[in-house]
Amino acid sequence: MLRIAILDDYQDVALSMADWSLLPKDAKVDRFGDNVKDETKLAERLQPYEVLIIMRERTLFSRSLIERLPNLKLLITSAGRNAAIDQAACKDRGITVCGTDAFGSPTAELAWGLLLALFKNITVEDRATREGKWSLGLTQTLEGRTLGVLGLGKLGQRLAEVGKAFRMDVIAWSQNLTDERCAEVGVRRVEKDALFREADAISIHLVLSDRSRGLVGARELGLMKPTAYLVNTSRGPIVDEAALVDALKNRRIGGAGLDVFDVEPLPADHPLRSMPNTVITPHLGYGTEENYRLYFGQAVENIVNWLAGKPVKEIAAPRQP
Amino acid sequence: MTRIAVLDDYLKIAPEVGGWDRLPDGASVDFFHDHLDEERAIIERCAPYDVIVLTRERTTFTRDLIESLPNLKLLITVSARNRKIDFEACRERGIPVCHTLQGSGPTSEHTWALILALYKNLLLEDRSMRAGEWGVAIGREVLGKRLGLVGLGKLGKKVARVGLAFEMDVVAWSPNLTDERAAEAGVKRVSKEELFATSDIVSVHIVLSDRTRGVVGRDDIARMKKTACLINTSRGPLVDEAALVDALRSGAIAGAGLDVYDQEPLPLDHPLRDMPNIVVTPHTGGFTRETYTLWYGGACENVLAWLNGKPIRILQPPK
Repeated sequence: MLRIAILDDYQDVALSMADWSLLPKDAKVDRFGDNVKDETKLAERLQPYEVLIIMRERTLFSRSLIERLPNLKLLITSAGRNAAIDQAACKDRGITVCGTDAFGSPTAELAWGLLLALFKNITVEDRATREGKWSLGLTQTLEGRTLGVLGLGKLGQRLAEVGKAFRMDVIAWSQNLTDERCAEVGVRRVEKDALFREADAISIHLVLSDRSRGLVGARELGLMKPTAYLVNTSRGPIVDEAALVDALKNRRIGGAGLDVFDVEPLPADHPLRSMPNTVITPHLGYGTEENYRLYFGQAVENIVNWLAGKPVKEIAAPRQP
Repeated sequence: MTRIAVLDDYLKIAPEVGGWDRLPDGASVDFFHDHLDEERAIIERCAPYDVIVLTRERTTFTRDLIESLPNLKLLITVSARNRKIDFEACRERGIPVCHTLQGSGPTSEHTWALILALYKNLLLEDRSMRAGEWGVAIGREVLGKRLGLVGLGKLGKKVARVGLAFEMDVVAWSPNLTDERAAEAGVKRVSKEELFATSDIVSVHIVLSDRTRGVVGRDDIARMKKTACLINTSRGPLVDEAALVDALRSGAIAGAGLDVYDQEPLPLDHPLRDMPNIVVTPHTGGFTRETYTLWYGGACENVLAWLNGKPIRILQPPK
């Protein structure tokens, strides 16, 4: 019997997003909807499985965990990168690590959803309308305002292009951003502090690394306009969460749209769960229906190919930053 | 003494952005922040005033009403259009009707806020996060989907531009749309039937007139895909609201994003106040701070010009 487990299937969708009957008859698939952080409990749960299907970076696969999983032979992660896997440890144990494709730029779409919800009071107005009220507040215009993009990679570029279509003034900064790259996307390169000072809305599109960790701290938040919004759909630790909570509580910035947090799932009693001037989502990022179909479909494909000794979508160990 | 009344200022913003301190001595302004439906109550409220400033089309100025306001000498409507004034009755009484400039653009932005809120389940997710949960639904992507625009005027074109930036397949239809004008906006003109049958998102951007009332009818909604959403930020009566409610209830369409309704404020017991698969906002799309400044500041200018004997921005009756 081949035992397969799907982890962190929060929304209970994995089994309906692919044709699992393509797997051999002796394969048994279990799914888990809860997130387990305690390594001992996790090792106990995962110990029987030969194949694990994991979602992005929802569970950390450290060397010590990997070494406690004697049956594990194939580790499949959604998308083509997973910073939460110790790939060297997998290699030492002879575990094959593979990924899947990812579709489109849903994270940039989500960033726009959060930005627009903030500018247009969507969550507040919808709630009020359902409660029987009418017209609580003013909305704001995007056209002519300044959009600051932190990181001008593929996602940052998509965000910027939509900002330009809204006729916003788009500025960008990241550590190695060149004038050429900015010209290619058609945005203005500014220094880091200028971006925080000038923007009416800031959206983060950086990869988490030692360089980007804590990049948006109390000092940067202090530079922002008191009306400006911060949107983070990249990774929680890029923003100093405590400083952000403080800025939101004291209304030093206009508000925040957050899809990512330091600890995920966000603890139930976390102050960010109850801030008025925020729109918060549970790390939706790439997790769209289109992508889930792609991920789980290719996960099945990976298992079938691996069983047949055919090549699978192996992913290379990430470069050290 | 000139007495001025501003009606239906729900947001209590008219006093702040109008620059009313520009009025000369002897002119005074009263602001009303609630909405009256009953004609007798409206007459009672408006009877003392020489000048009445209307906030959009929130209160209908019928012949009966106009004839019951003996002091009324000037009627001002904010924005550039008002179809709820009996112009003939005003003309007979010698009351000029003036308008202000119209803010442009924010409604097209609001359209996108509704589309993305629907596609990403933002309301549901935000609400469940506040209730202590984590991850309750899966969103969809707009990339590669078909956006069907009913109307490709100034606002429709703005919506199209953003759809193209999201790499959507944008199509449009309106009674007079030509292939050339569609191509200029970078979109494809299709028939009305094709637009409703093939679009993933249908958004309405057309001026309300007798010709366009109900332009999105029961048959059109019936043609829509089961997974499709309807967005209306233009005017409620453009869409057959009863047919829309039926389609949402039965699951014949997936959802709707609405900022406008047949009756506004939306009645308390209206089914659209309580449906899971929709996003509803209280006609706030066009109402940004920037727009209000243009409107109430413009109304104040209208009063000043009229006091000087030279009324500006006279509004012509709609054709």
